[in-house]
Parts: sequence; structure tokens; C-alpha cells
Amino acid sequence: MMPDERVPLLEVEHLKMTFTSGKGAKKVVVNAINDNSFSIYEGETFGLVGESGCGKTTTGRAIIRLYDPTSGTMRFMGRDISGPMTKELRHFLTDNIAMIFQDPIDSLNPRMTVEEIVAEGLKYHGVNDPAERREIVLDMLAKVGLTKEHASRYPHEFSGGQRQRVGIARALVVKPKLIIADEPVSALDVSIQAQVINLLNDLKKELGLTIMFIAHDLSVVKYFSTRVAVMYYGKIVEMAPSDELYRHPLHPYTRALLSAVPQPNPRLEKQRKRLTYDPAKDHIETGEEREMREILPEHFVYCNSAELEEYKKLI
Amino acid sequence: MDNDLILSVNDLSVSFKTINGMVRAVRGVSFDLRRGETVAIVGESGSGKSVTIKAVMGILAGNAVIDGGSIMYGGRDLLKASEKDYQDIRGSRIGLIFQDPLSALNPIMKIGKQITEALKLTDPKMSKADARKKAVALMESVGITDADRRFDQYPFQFSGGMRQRVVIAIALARDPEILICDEPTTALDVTVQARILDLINEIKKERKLSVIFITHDMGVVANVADRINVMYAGRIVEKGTADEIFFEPAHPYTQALLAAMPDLETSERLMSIPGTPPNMIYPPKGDAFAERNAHALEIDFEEEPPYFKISDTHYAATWALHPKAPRREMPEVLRNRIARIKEEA
Repeated sequence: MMPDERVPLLEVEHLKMTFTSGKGAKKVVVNAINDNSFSIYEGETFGLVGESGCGKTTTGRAIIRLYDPTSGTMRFMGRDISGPMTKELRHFLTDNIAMIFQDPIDSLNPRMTVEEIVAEGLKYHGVNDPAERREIVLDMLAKVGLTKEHASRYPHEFSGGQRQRVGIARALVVKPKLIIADEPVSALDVSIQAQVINLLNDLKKELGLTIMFIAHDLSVVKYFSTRVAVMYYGKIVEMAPSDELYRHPLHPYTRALLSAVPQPNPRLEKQRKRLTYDPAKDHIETGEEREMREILPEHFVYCNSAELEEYKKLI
Repeated sequence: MDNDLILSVNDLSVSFKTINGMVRAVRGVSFDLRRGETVAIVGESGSGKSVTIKAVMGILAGNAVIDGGSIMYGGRDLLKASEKDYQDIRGSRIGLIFQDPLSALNPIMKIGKQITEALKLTDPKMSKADARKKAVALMESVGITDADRRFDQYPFQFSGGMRQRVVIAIALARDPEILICDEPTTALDVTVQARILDLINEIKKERKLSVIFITHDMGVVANVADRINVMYAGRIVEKGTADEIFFEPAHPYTQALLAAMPDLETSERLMSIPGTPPNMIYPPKGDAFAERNAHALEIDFEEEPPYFKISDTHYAATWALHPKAPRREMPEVLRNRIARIKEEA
């Protein structure tokens, strides 16, 4: 799809999220999300990578309004969703955005059967006829590779990969416009990860899903995403189409992160040099404010103009 | 007799008593560790890799039963050693680093104390000042900056990577000759992981350590390992040098494992492994991987394959290597990938 033909599904502008703890002199303010702007277009997979504590999960949760953002605006399907929470807005959000969580054990109610878990969202969605609900649920289970027999079982009877399939079925059954997948495969074994990634890819094609994919594994994010944003301490420092980002990583943090990914290649691994990122040394200070600058079409880096010139030499 | 051989596990089998029956966790595992080399054991959760090293350390859970085999170290069989003998080996000769550095440290004891505690085990008469000096030097050698100040801090004041460095310092305090690392970087971020791997490689060289490295991450294995043992359902299904395992994988499970993960260049559909690992209360009769292997032979379901020799260092337990078995090429996806990564190197 050409960049200008794309329809933004979600537009986030200057999103800020701060957490405070303590009082008076002991008060601590953490900038979990520090002024980020990005859009997610219909039909794309937007990857958000970064290390633990960088704010990627918080970003996902702020979008579905599990947190109230400190400032900034978010527009979803053209509607402002950053305002005061009302019952109607909550319905709008839960009808259209669904989440897939990292831990397939903790995110499923152990006392509900798979059928009840998957059907729960439908109830709130206004599917009141039990027979119809059951039909939709079984259909959905088949799509994620589970059978009718699985429907009456409880989560503990399943393996990790199967539980994650249940989590995916629960998210997809309400036909959401946007799926926020927060580390959906990182708790799974290698052989099972591939199954779940392939499943998500198939469903993405079949149902035309838009996915926000939050993960720390750069190889998986690269494989799965259309565009990728790299986050460091609450700030998106680089954003580009995924091939472009991996071909031309420009921000020193992105380069350090990529150089740290262990590659399944013993000859390469045993002699490779890793880059480290030191925010105090790897930047040119000119006193000018940094901002997201477009260095190549669709490729944004958080930098000042002196750094922009430096980065241009790297391409 | 191989002079460099320091640890030798032979035909080790371990089961666990459970309400549902005996779980056959480890079924006839053999591997050797030579001086100064890193041997990796790779496998998924439940493959028996952690149980194997727990048996080596003599810290198996109470419901474990050793069905057979031997662990030869320093001329004796560790499986027959008494608990008292073991106390002279555990920690002092064989050090262990765990996956989760936070639960390996005592939360209400200062970092320094936790290191000097280990030092004093070796030399109970060591003075407090000496112990402190040694501990600070040790902390510096594992890359903890400002060690003198951090000596008096508690574990919660350390980041994940720094905690793992403390755990490594404690393991090194008694100057072991073998270091066992059980998924030491799994809980860490990639950039921190890279630094810890570099550290382990460095101290291994400096101290001429022999390392047993347990992991499920093929990228990490490529970084650290000289030799690799691939485990599946309680057995080592393939063993070889790092190059042999990555460039000439022979067992269908090794091949599937290598093809299942995307690397930074992958764009084609992933080759996933269907199904799940077998229930080890009822271990399958033949090759445990047969059920998930689309090209399994009839005999795979009937009889457990022996090790077939590919080279002096490379063995695989699969009937596909039997001279009478039909010749099968590696999956194309994997062939292409191996050709690509060989070129990159």
C-alpha cells in the first residue's frame, strides 16, 4: 500500500504518562511515556520494541485506557479517546480494541471453561442468544486450531501454546478493529512460538487485522511487523518500516540494541563486536531541542539537526 | 584416557515420583566436559536439561529417583558420594549460576556479606578486612563499578544485570573449576544479556574454567558453546561441535528447532513443529520426536534409535541416519538459511 493511501486507525499525539509515588520531599515522578506521537494504519502490524521498563506495555495500556494518560491526545477511528472516561467510551473501546497478554496462564480465569472465557466478550457485545454464541465461539476456536472437545475444558488442562490460542480466540471473537498484543509469544517454547506466530500471521491475512505488537525480541518483531518503533526510557527514538530499520539503524540506541541480538550463527557470534549505548557520550549537544525528524521517507529519528547530518552520512 | 576430561556423565537416568506415576525426566544422558571448554545443553522446557545438572550438583528434589548411570568427577562417582563429601565439591569445585538472580540472593543480607560468606567457607580464619578486600576485588572483576560502596547495599538496590554479576561473583568466590550456568541470561534484556555473556566468556578464559551452559536460546548457544548437546524428552538426540550442530544438523528435532525461529533476515513462513512434547509418564516407545516429525519412519515408532556416528565429534540418535533409511534432504528453508549464515560468517 502506498504511504498516502493508508487510513490511520489510531493516531497518538504527544502522549505522556507519568507515575508518581511518595509525598513531599520523597516524591518521585517517573516519566513512563515521554511525549510520543505515532499512528497505526489499517491493516498494518505496528511493532513496539524496547527493553523492560521502557514504557512499551504502558503505551499499550494507555491506549485501551487501563491508565489515564497524563497529557496528549489519542484518536481512534476518528474519535478522541483520551478524554474523561464514560460508560459509553468504555464500551466503544472494549468493542473495538482487544488485548492478547504475555502470560497465558495468569490471563485466563482458572474457574471458567474455554467456551465461557471466549463467549464472555460476546455477551457484552450484545450476542444474547446462547445457541448463536456457541456457534460463534466454536467457529472461532476452529480458526485458532482448537477443536469442539476443547471448549468444555478448563485452562489448566492445556499446554502453554494452546492457552495462548485461547487468549487469541478471546481477543478476536468480538471482531475488534485493533489488537494490542503484549509479548504474546515470549513465554512460549521455541517450537510453540513458531506455531503461534504462524497462526497470528494467518489470522492477520484472513481477517485483515490491525495489530500493535509489543515485544522485546527483535528478531520476532522484525519478522512480524510492517513498521517498528524503538523505545528507550519512555521515548520513541526511532521509527521506520521494519526492513528499513534493520538495514539502516541510525539512532545509537537502535544500533546498540541490534548488535546485542544473539544470532544463531556460531562463527559470527564468536567474533562479533557489540556496541554499547551511552546517552551521555553518543549524542552531539548543540542546545537545540531534539524532535522526531524524517531522515528518509517514513524513517524517523529522534535527534537535533547536527545529529541528523551525522546520521545521513551513515545511510 | 583423556587427560583433559574433568567431568563425565554416563548413561544418567532420573525419574520423579508423582501422584500420577513416575515421570521419566532424564533417560540415559551421557556427555563429557573437558578442561577450558564450554558444553551447552539445549532444549525446551521439560526436556530434562535442568534435571541433568541438578543431578550433577546433587540438589535433586526429594521425590527424585536416580535410575542408573554415573557422574565421574575427580576419579569418583558423584552419585555414590555422601552428602558430606558433596559439601566439599558443591560450590567449591563446581559453581552454579541460576536463571533468576533475585531469588538466588538473600533479600535481607547485604551484597558484601553474601560474597564474604562464600569466601569464609574456604578460609574460615580470614579476617573481616581481608574478606572485604577480596570481595571488592571480586566484584570489580565481574564488572561492578564503585564496588566499595555497593558492598554495603542490598539486592533490591541492584538492577537485574548487576544482580546476575553478584551471583557470578559469589559462584567465583570459592574458585571452582567447573561453572554451571542454568539459563543465566533468560530473565535479562538483550543488551544486558550480551554483556553477561561477554563476562562469562571472559572469566572462563581468565580462570581456565570449564563451563556447562544450559539454555533454550539457539542464539545464545552460538555465542558461548564449543560443543552442543541437544536434548528432547529426556534424551540427548544430537551432539556435536557448534559448527556441526548449526551447519550440519542431522536430527529432525535439531533441524526443526533451527528452522522454527526467525532471525533478522527471515521473511518466509516459519517452519513450526506441530504438536507438543510427549508426556514423560508414558515415554514413547521409539524416537520420542517421531510423533511431531512429518517424515518419521515406521521404525521410529517402534524402536529407540541408537547414536549414529557422523564424525568423531558428531552423533545423532535418529533412524534417518541408518544406511538402509531413505535419504532425505534437509528442509529447503533450513538449507537456504544455513547457506546464508555461512556466507555471513
